[in-house]
Amino acid sequence: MGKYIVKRLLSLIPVLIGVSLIVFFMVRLIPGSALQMYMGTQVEATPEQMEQLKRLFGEDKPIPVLYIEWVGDIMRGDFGYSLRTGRPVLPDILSRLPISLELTLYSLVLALLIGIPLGILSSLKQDTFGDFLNRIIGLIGLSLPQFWLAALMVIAFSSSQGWIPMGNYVSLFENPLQNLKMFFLPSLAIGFGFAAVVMRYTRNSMLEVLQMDYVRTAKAKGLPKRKVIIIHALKNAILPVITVTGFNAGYLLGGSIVIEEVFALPGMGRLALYAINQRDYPVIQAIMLVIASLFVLVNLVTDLVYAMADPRIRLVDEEK
Amino acid sequence: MHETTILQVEGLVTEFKSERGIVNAVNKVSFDLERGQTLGIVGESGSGKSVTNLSILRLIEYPPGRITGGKVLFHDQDLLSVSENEMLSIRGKHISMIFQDPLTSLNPVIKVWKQIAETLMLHQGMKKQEAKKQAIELLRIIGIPDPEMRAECYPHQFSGGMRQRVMIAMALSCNPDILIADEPTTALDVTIQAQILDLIREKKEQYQTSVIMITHDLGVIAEMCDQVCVMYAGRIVERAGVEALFGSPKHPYTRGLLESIPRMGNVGTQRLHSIKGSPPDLANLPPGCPFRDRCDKAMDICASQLPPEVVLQEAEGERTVACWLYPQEGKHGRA
Repeated sequence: MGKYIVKRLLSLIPVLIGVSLIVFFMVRLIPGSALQMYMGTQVEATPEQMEQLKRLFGEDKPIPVLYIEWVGDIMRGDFGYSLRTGRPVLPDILSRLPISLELTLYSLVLALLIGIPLGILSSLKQDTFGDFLNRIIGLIGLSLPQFWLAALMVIAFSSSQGWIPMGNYVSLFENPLQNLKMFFLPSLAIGFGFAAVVMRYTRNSMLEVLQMDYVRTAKAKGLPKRKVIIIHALKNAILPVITVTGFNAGYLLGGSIVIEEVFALPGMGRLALYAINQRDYPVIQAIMLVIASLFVLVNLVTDLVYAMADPRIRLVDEEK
Repeated sequence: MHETTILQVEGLVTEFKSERGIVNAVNKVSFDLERGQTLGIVGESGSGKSVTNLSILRLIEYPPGRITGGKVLFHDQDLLSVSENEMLSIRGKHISMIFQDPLTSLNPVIKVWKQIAETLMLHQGMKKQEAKKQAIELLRIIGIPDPEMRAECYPHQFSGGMRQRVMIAMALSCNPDILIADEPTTALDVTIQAQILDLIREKKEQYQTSVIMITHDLGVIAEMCDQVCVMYAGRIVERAGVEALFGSPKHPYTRGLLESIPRMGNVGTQRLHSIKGSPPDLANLPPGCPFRDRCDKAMDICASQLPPEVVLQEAEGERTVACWLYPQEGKHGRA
């Protein structure tokens, strides 16, 4: 098991090389360089000044050379400096990462807390009014864009004290209750669509599992219905839900970028958005590397959780 | 009800709603199970043998299935009219079941000992540790080598025969009055089949359990049973002691079944007999005897009227048959 985890972590390296290549060249394909963004249209500069600025903004060398220099810096743990603020990139990202992570985790937990029980209920009351209502709400949840839901929430709750963050961010360790309250609506906006996905997966999976022979065995033992469902059926029905949760965790992280903007939460997504607007290459590149690493880690965690939930799966080294 | 009768099924009717209408999977089935006896129920697929037994434990899913008539008398109470809660204390404790496919019948994500201990904790009020010890003991009794280690395994780590042993351990854990074995050997290798049948017989004698053995294998019936019910299209068409049934089958269907067993001496010299045609569509049963289209003794009356069960008195005891070849009630049947 330990060997397996190490191997999976080592697979981070090629992923990161690929991501770094793509990101590095892609951001430079966006029209307008960092320097142009900085200069705007008004400012005049002498050729000497322009030379200096170009060196400062790293536009004096060919892009492949810049890439190699950048990778070399990162190997030494130096993620460079923001072209806009002049501050080192890494501390800025690390201070914002917890907000994005909390938002993602929170929305994940909300989605599971809403989706799984509703999915179970729907499967037990298959084709009744409640089931149809559930499925219709689920369909709506799937179809609503997150940012639209978020905007509606801001409008609806803007007068309610403490529900909308609006710039007065409080960390989880300072005041847990207020933090959770403040993050509730943004997380719900991100997680609502995913809750619908979880609900549908749970429902379909339960419907299938409830037909299985071992559920009949459990009933024949004389177990009450509640135990049959929770112990015998749900343990099996949850497996596809774990898989889909793993897939979607990355998607939720992406969703947090837009939602942080709507709710004015100082997370990594907001930082990325500004960096892209300003062509702040070092910041964009660093953020993308962090997100790619998180993606790989989430996949690893999903596989580990799945292996714990399903004893038939054994994690073995892939090459054999 | 005799003193020795432990279970009495009377006029049991179970129907299923299907797209093509109501299907009477079990149609007025009656039989008695004597204490310590093994009763065989034989018939082809879809004849209603499994549904009959699921109905006894009220394990028919509604919808689409529903028990619409009859009585199941066990210890002077009708299981079809007791509350669901009372039913919970009968299932697994007084009447338990083992199923055809032990791979799909055991929960794949729960350790073997837990699946056995669950029943003990539920019905015997054991604590977890005590139940675990007892579960390991049951595994030992049932012939699982190295039970302490195997108890920690999951079902997929067991062979088919081992899994069926686990099922039997689970079913016998509370020392039930009745064990219903629904095709317990169908999914197993022939050599394992014999072991499992031996095990069931041994435990049955040890614990004085009455057994209902559902099978389509007449070999199993001959080896295990005292009494036999032959089912066809949701009805019992013949019921007799095992020797009487094999010695002188009365119903043309039973005869057909017995003739389709290959015999050693005839191999290569004679074509194997088969019953022509296929079972009738239960959703669309014509009037009269459901077997008449496949019967070589069919008469005019068979097309219009359902044959009643006729009781035949023989030297070995009572037997019944539902066929117009035996019209007079109470008289001796022709051999």
